[in-house]
Amino acid sequence: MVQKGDKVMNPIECVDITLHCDNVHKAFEEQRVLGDITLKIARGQFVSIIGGSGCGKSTLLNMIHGTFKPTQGRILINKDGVETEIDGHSRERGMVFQHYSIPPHLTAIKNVALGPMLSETSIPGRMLGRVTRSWPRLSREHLQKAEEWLVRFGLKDALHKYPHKLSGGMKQRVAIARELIMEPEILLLDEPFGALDEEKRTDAQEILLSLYEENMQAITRGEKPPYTIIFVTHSLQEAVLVGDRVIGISRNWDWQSEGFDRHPGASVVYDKVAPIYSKDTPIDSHQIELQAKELRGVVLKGSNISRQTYCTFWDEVHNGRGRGVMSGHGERDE
Amino acid sequence: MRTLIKTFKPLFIIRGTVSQRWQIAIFFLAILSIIVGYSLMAYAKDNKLLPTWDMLFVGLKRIITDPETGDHYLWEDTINSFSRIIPAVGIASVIGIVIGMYMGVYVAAEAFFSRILTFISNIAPTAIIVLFIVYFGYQFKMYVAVIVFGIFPVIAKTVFEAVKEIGDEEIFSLKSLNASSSEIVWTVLFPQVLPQIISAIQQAFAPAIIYVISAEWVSGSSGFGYRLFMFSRSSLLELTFPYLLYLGTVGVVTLAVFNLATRILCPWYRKETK
Repeated sequence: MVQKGDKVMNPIECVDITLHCDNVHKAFEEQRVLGDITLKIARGQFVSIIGGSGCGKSTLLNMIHGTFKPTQGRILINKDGVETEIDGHSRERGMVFQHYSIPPHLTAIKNVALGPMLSETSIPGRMLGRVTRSWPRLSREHLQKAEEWLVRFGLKDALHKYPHKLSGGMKQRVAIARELIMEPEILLLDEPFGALDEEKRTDAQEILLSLYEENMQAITRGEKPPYTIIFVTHSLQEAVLVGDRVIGISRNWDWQSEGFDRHPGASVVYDKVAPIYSKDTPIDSHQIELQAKELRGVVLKGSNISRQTYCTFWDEVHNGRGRGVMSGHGERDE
Repeated sequence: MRTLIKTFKPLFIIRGTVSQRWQIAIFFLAILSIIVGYSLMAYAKDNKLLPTWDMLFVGLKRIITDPETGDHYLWEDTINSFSRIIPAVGIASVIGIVIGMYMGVYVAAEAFFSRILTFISNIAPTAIIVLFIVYFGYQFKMYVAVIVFGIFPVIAKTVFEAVKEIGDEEIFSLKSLNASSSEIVWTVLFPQVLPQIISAIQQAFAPAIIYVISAEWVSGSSGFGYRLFMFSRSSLLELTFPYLLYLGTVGVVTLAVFNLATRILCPWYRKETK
């Protein structure tokens, strides 16, 4: 808890912000997809993004990944206290997609080791390294690190299997491991479990929950939480279960009353704290259903939503209702 | 009768399953029908053209070792023609792979080459062999140039299409792993499309043989084309046919070799069938 005199500082000013979307607009030619999006995501948060199909949630993720540039506004990423504007793709931001996971010609372990190989060495470097014997040594280190990740994700038996021998859920786990081995500032997941059946989905969700637990342990030790994740999903329950914060994006907000003369595109209409679960705490499905119902009403079915009404995340944190990595930043937190 | 229908019925079901044994039997049926068909034509009363089986057998022995001159036509021609085909296919593959790979990842390269390749691939190099002779003479270089000109556009296009199939997601995620452009193209995408590349080279072999035969036919003093030209000038079909049989067999063998190469080099590759 950071205090200034007797008054608790607004958490938004003292929290370690990893990602900052500042007034972001995105239009494809004449079509305005996203309008006036301002978001601050703290280090260690798992943020779920919900929205009707075609509302632009993937566009937002692709912008953060570096594929598109915003037509207006800035997206800033904070690395070691330095905020830089996003420009193209970079190892600070990893992404896992719904329909694509990993190249088919590399075994699981080599796929995961691909990232360190590509980012730490170059083609001439590896050629030279073959002669000086430094590359095989480095490669062994990469493979060892890759193995550790895969074992953590329960893929011990699949290390040397090619992707065509892996199930969809296993492939997505390899894809997540492949991004995390790069230690990105932020990991973007675009409906990564959308194509999986219920059982595999639960396994995959548990992996994310275990990563969150690691974040919590790091905070207890006084370290920085290692994983920050933005998670797009079309399942409301999954959004509430996996995220510690749920963001809803919709086109149906009251843009006229905010002074826009044309529809600027979808914007954030819902931003609230979500409950946190770990392996030990039982999942309260009633609570999840309750929030899912609210989300459905506001984000999917709502019309003319005022952006202030449901965007209360930072107030909640300020009032001590922040949970997980965001607890300890408010007034009534003990 | 009913049991007969029951036995053959599976063969006439669309996408039905046919046992391995049946497939082999059907293959032999195909060979048998060629043999029977040929025999009917060769032994017909008014046939003056087609050689009979025993003439063919004598012919075959003669192209292996000529009893008069002691020449080994088949062997010499194989050496001569393949010493032109193999380097040419190699050069065409390198050109085709480089162009195809870059077309698949750079839109500018695609815009530059795409239509031009279609244009070139529709020009029969056999029609302009004279041009090649003027530029390269009657030497090795000319044969290679004819073949390369004939097959590199097709290889480039096949490679291009294979690379183009790869989704943007993969390229973007590779970029976010800090891969350089050459690493994306050569370290990741190249091995990924290697099966299609191998298949493209294999498919280029048949036209390569056609082009080398044409070039040798026109200008040669050695090779398959030259030999076939000599035979056909004196209507020696009993020598020509064993040659064609041999060339067909070479095609079947190369296919098997390339398939084996795919299995060894790309153990991860599965054709998308169920």
